[in-house]
Amino acid sequence: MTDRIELPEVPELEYAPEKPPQGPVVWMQENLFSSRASTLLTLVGLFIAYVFVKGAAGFLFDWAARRWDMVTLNMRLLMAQAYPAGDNLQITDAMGEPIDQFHRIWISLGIVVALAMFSFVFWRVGSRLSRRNLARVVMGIGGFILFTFLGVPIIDYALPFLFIIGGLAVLYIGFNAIREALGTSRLLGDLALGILINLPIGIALLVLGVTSVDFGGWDWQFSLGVHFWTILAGAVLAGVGWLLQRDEASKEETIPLMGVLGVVAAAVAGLIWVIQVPVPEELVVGADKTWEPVASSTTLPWTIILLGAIVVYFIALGVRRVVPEKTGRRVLAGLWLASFPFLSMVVLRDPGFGEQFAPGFDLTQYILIAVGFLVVGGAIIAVVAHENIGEWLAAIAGVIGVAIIYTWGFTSALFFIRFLLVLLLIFVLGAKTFGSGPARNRYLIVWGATMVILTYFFIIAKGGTTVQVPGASPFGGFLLTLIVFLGVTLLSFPLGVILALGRTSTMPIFRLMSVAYIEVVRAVPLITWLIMSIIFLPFALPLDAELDRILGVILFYSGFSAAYLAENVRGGLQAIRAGQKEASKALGMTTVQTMIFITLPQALRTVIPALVGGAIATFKDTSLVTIISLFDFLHISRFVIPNSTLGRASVRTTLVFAAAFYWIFTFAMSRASLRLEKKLGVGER
Amino acid sequence: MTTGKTMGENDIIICDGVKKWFGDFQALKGVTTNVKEREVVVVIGPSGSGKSTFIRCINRLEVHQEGRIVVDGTELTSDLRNIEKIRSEVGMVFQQFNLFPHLTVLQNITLAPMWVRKKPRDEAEASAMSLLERVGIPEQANKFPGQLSGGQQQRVAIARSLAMEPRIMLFDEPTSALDPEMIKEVLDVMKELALSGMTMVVVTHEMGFAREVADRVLFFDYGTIVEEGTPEHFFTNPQHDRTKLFLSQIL
Repeated sequence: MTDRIELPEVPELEYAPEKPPQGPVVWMQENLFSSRASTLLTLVGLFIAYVFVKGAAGFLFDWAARRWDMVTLNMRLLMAQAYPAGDNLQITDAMGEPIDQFHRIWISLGIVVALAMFSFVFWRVGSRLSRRNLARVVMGIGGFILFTFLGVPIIDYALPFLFIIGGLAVLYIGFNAIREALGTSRLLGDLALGILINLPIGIALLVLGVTSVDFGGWDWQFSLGVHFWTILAGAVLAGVGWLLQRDEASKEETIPLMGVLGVVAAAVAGLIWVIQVPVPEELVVGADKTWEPVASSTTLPWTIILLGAIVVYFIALGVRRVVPEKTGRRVLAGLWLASFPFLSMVVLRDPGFGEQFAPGFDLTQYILIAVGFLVVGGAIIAVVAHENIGEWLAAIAGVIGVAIIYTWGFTSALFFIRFLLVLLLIFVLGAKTFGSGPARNRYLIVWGATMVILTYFFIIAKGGTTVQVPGASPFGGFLLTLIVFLGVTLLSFPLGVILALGRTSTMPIFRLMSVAYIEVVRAVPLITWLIMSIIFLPFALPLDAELDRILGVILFYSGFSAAYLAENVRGGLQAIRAGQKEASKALGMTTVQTMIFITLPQALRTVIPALVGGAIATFKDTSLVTIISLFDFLHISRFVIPNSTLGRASVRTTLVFAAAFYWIFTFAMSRASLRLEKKLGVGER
Repeated sequence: MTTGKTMGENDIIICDGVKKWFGDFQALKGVTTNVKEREVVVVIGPSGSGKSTFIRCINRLEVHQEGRIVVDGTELTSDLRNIEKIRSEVGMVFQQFNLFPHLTVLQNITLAPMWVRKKPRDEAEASAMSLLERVGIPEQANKFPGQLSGGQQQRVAIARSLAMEPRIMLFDEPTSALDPEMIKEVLDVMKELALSGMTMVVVTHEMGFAREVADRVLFFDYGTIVEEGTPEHFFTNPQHDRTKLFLSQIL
């Protein structure tokens, strides 16, 4: 027996062998023609792609029938519909001059762009992309162009040659396969069969003089020259893309995102100043046309926004040097959240004070009520938040609860008081958990800020607006689509989460109420709820209150969407292991704290894909508001433009444009969701 | 005793005829025992014997149906305020660690002190860092639990419980989910804790730990305490046949 055991030497670290770059032929052989069945599937797939691409391309490139000019000419209508502009003469000032409110839209867009630049600087300024990913996008575009402009005509006009090429391909792939697997009779058989079938058919077709087939679809709209250059461009893109992505080094993330953004900015600059399109001088049939930049009449605001974005970028870089990254990101997230109510209610709507208020409305009364609540409510919260006052909590909450019931009245001021009482109740109940100790001052500040902001919105909702269109809502077009979508998303999220918590609660009354709400709301079609929003909602409001139709839609739609969201969140809540709650409880955290810090964050993370799916569905379904005579983006594409004098027979074109426009946004959303998932997933692995 | 610790005279946990059912199955059949301040009690027994249920009853993660449990002078009833007060003074370490995967190690430790004890953030973070030093992994403070080994996770879980400055620590099979190589690092932390005078109730299968650190060993089977005594008495001179059988199988 020895005291020492001989250990084998530890082997040296070895790297996995590098995969040699493949040629396209080897790639095709491995991925498209690896077996008899996959060859067959590839051919069937190619035929289906041929049919689809031929149909789509024929539709898009049929210049005589497509009315793309209807899209560009009506861009303002599509984006903002009746929003008052100087030249649509819908409102005039005292002197009879038209009031131009359109700058409000540009200001809103400018604010959003500025926020976006700041966010870029604080989140992604150093990010880099891999050459491979970019090159593959380029290669894909090139491949698609090649297939459309070369592949489709080949199938159309050179069927016999296709069979001959097929025969030769079988010959080549077969030879390769034989070289690799010599002696396998199946491969030899395939080879012989392929050549036997393909070559004779091709030659027979040639002899018979059948040189073209047509599976239906389109006639080529381009001259041979245009066609040639397009194919060449496609080939160059596909080739360059392929060359740039084939080496292993292309996987490394080396290309700064900033550069890509610069290319985009340059493209925008081109659309503003360089690239010109013909624009009719008047909106009548057969008007003379002049050449103008694509930005056309919006050249000035776009120029300001582009230059502004560049300036803001450098300002943001400077700010980033002073402000810690984390603080900056938090502030930005808050600003994004606040931007929607601020832009939609203040900038775009322009609350008009003074004589614009509804008759009988007393501004002083509202402000007095609000100040009273601010001071007295703050005092109550401060007392309740005190360490040893827990016993009083229930009593004070009870008093507020009774007050809520007894202020149930049908005048706006009482409605306002009731609303503030509910708010106070929430803050009082949360005071012990979130507002005691060192957090107290912060909690009181949150209370004050919430009060001021909500009072402000209450008052401006009562006030008139200088942005008026006789007999209609000033919001329409894509602006309306965006406002409804963002409003619904922002409102339905908290409501849905509360419903999900209610449904998983151990308290029967909340569980029952949540289940009942969810089941009833989901059982009725959305369109029904939208109609109800204009018929029934007024009954639930104070007699002297007038609710904007869009606000009603947002409220009802949010309620609808929240029911679905709640079910998604419930799935996430159920996926959390019991140990998490136990650990949290064992640390002495209350049920509410456990929910807010432990269960909800984890549950929401797991259901991000479902939540984004829901948001995308909401975005598209906003088009249903057309049912209550709101002129959203799709409605204008489908009815308004095609029904104009100039726009006859343009409906197919405008619908394609609408589809593409929706796609850009939904695709961006799904990409953002992927990024978010990746980012939040890091900690869990 | 090798630990050389002084024994307090106060009973900090009093269990009197504790009974507990899961449906028709009776998990605890009248458990009566007291734990003194600064005492280290190790609970052993075959699986299904009710030992985990017993210590989970002490901070009311399980609700006992009959009998009386008094922790630090407060009886466990359905009164929520009592339960939260007791839980904040009784730390618990789980078999599966149960760290919060979406928070960093530091956030895991500071969360409860900040929101339950209402400590300011910097104070909570400073004490969290000193606790991480104590369990030997200060360099992991900003990682996520998923990036740590099992032993490191369990040590974070211990630090998380200690951050509440508990008077009692409960350990529910803290090393059962660990690789053999990591068990020692967790046991070392627990030994250090026992030496510092913490009152501990430990459910474990680590007999070495029981022998070295325990002041008293409880042997559980069929929902009752079959035998109890000092480690010397328990391991060298067990009285009950069931205990002898159990010890012969595991030693």
